[in-house]
Amino acid sequence: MSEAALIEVENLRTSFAVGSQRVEAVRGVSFSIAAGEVFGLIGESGSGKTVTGLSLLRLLPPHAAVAADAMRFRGEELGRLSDAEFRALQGVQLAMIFQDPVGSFNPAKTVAWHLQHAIARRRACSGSASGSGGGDWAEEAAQDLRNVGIRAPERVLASYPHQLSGGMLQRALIAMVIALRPALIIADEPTTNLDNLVERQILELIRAQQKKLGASVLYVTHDLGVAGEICDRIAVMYAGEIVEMGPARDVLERPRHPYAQGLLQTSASLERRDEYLYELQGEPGGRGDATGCAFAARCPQAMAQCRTTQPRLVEVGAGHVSRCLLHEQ
Amino acid sequence: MAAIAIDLAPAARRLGGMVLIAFLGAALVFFVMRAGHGDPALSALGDQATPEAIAAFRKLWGLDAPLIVQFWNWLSGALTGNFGKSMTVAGGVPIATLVGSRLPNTLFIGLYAMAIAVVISLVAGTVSALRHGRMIDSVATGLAVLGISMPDFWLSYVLVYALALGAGIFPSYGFISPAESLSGAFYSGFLPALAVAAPMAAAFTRMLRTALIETLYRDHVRVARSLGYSGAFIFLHYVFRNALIPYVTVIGLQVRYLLGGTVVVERIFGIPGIGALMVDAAFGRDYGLVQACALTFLVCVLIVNFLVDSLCAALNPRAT
Repeated sequence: MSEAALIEVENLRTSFAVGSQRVEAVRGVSFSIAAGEVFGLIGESGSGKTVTGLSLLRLLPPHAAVAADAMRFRGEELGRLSDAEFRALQGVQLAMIFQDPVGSFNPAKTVAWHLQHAIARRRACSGSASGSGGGDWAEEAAQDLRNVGIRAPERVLASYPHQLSGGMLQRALIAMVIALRPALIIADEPTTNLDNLVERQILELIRAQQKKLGASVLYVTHDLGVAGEICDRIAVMYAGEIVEMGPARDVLERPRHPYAQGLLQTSASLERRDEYLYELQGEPGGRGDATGCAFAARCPQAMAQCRTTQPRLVEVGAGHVSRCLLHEQ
Repeated sequence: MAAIAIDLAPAARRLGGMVLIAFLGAALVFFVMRAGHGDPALSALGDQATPEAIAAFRKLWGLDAPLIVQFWNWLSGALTGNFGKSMTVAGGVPIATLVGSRLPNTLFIGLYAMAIAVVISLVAGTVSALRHGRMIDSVATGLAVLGISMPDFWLSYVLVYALALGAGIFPSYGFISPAESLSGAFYSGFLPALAVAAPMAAAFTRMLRTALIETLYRDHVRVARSLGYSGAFIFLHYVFRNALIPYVTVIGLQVRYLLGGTVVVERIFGIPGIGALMVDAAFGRDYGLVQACALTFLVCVLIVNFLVDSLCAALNPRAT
C-alpha cells in the first residue's frame, strides 16, 4: 500500500496436507503494517490468525504449503529468498513471541544461556556497523531483564525454565526477543496463559518496548479487550479470510461486518456478566457454502444471495473495509 | 544438621539399596544353586566314587554343614574378599584369582560391544530422525527390527560364517587378552562384540530416533528456529541435548542384556571370560565359583546403573 509499510502481504494462502486432501487454513489474506504500528489479528481459534503469523516467519511444518502474490519486507520479496537467506532475517528482523512461555524455553538450559545466545546472534548480525557490539553479555542480559520489570535478574538468569513461573518466563521470553532488536515482532496470544494482572503488565511492557525500539507488532489474539488496548489497527479474521479491517477504534466501536458485530456483542455480554451469554450460532470457524460467504450459515442477517455470491472487501470508512454483501446494496 | 541430613539422605538411601540388592542377589544365587540337581562331589570324583570318598569330599568343602551355616561361612568370607577355592572347575585355585584373571576379558568385550552399539545408534538414530519417512529411515528402521529379532547366538554363527570363514577377515575362534595386546584384543574381539552389540544397537537406534523426532516438534525448537539460529546449533543444543535423557536411560536398562549376551558369545568364540567361567562352574556344580561370578555380574550392573542414573540426573536439570 504505502511506501512506509514495513511489511506487505498480498493474497496469502496457506494449506495443509491432511491425508490425501489439502485443507486451506488461510484463504487470500492481504494486509500491510507500517513501521512502528501495532496491527491486531483477531479471530476465533481455527480462524487462521496464528497460521498467518507462522506463514510470514516460515515456521510451518513441511506438510504446509504457503503461497502469496506478494510478501514484502522493506520492499524486498520474501518469497524469493532461499531458506538460508531467510534465516538471516529471522530473529534479528522478524521475530515471534509465542503463546506458551514455558514450552518456548529449552528445558536443559538456563535463562542466561538463552539470553547469551540471543545477544550473540544480534551482535554477529549487526557487526560493528550499528556500534552496539561491545560490552559484557551478562550485563546486557541483566539489563534486558530489568527492562521487562524483573527486579532480581541475577536469580532469574541462573534459573532453569522449570524453576520460574509462567509470567516470569513470558517476561524473559520478551526480553530475549527484544535483545535481538527485531523490526517486526509477531506476538501470538502472549498473555492467554497468564492471569489478568500479569496480562496487563505484559501488555504495557510490549507497548513500552515497541515504542522504545520503534518496532512494528503483529498482535494475534482472540481477546477484543486486549486488542483494543494495544492495537493501532485491527483485522478480524473468519475461516481464513479477513472480514473486516480498519483503525482499532472504528472496528471495535462501530463494527460493520455481522461477524465482528457478533464477536463484540459476545464480548460485551461477557463483560456485563449476563445471565445468558450472547453467542454466535453454529460451529466456530465453520465454513458454510463454498460458493458464497463463509459466514452465511451463522449470520443473523444472511440473505438468499449470501449463499451464492462471494462478498468482496468494501470500503466502509476511512481506511476501514468490510467483507459483506450488505455494504454493496 | 537438617541440611546435612537432606543432602545425604538420597545418596545414603541409594547406597543402602545397592548393598541390600547385592545381599539379596547373593543369597538368591546361593540357595537356588543348592536347590538344583547335581552334586559337586560327583562332578569332581566321577560316578564310580566310593561313598567314603564322597563323604570325605563333602567334609573337606564344608558341604556337610547346615545350609545356613554354609551361607554364613561363604558370606563372611566374601565380605573380606575371600571367595574360597574352586571345587571342581579348577580344583584348588582361589576363586578370586580365577575371576580376577577373566574379568578384564568380559569387561573388554562388554565395553567394546557397548561402544559399537552407541556409535552405530548415534549415527543411525540421528540420520533416520532427520530423514524420517524417507528411504534411509525405512532402511535403518528395518535393520533395527532385524537387529532386535536376531538371537545373539544365531548372529554369532552368521558373522563367523560370513566374515571369518567366508571373507577371512576376522578369526573365527579364540581371543587375545587386552593385557597381552590391545590391538589384538580389538581385532580378535570384533566379531563377538558385534554379535553382542547388534540387538543393543537396534534398541538404542529406535529409542534415539523416537526421542529425536518427538523433540523436533516441541515448541522450543520452533522458537529456536524463529530466532534464526543455525540448523546445527538447534539440533545440537535444542533437539539432541533433550533427546539424550531418554537415550541414556535406555542404555542403562540394556546393560543387563549386555551381560547375558557375553555369556553366550564367550562360549561360541572361546573367550576366557566370566560368562564362560560361570557356565562351566554351573555345569560342574562349583557352588562358590558360580556365586562369585554372579555376584561380580550383579555388582557390575549395580555400578553401571548408578553411573547412568547419575549421568541422567546431571543431564536433566529437573531431576534434582
